[in-house]
Amino acid sequence: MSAARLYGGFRLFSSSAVQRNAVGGKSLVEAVAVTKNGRTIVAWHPDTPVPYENTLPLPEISEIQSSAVVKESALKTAMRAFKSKHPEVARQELMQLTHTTKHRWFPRARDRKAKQTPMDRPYL
Amino acid sequence: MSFLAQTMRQMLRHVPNRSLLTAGAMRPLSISPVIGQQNKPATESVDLSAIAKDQQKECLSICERINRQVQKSEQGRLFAVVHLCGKQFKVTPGDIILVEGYWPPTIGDEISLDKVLLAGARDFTLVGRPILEPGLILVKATVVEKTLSHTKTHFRKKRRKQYMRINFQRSPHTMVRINSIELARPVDGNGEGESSSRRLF
Repeated sequence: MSAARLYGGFRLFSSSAVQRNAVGGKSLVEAVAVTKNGRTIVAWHPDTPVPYENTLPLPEISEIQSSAVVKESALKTAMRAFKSKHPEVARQELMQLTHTTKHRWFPRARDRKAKQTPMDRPYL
Repeated sequence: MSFLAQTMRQMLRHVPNRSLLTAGAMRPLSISPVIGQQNKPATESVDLSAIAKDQQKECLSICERINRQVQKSEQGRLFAVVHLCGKQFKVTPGDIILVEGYWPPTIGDEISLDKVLLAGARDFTLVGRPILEPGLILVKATVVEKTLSHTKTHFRKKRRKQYMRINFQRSPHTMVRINSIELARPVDGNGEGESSSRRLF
């Protein structure tokens, strides 16, 4: 191809000092070229192995022992005790257990709304 | 860097001429039109063909390096960016692409994705302008599944107007499995330039 077309079509590709990595590391792309017909840009970036001295081991993940299982089972047992009873009877028993009035044990509409429920499909 | 070096060498050869002309004219502080005209040949005398040849040699060496690596089959696994049904996918062999909407190919059809925008391996990357040459990278795929998406609801309501509409819609989905991505011929090959006219893009 002619020189005029070479310069007119695109800017020159060269691995000069100006295009070095600004962070200070080695430039990722070693060389850039264009094929003869000018329709393909070719970049050469050989893989650089990382020396062993520059590596660090992965941090250890420690298992945290949580007592949520006990709480959950106790809560489920308590809920099961009152589920099969009549709401009024359950309300009376809860009032006596907690020494409170009956008004807080009435059902509330805001408890029925969905709150941060997980997605039922993985791609949503 | 070689381009800058050659340009500096070309410019340095013409500096003595300017100094000689200035000394001969006996008027160092004036800017005469003769000196102005003398500056023009300096830029014209830069050898563009030499610079172009140097660049072409560099390009050829890089292409030869890539071709040599491909011949030894040391390039590793290729990835490609393909343009399909108005979307761009970055694919590797074994991927499944989801094409949404109506699409004529049926289950079992083996297709070739021709609009390859970019292809890369571990050590090199080929960038198209805007797409790679037809036949340079072969991306082969198979239609594995045609299904419908999940039910989407389109709900409209106007208060106090006795107006409420719910439409349910499921759009067609096509799953395409990428079978292989191969570099069919050397990077700097000049063949198959005429076959591009037969394709409809």
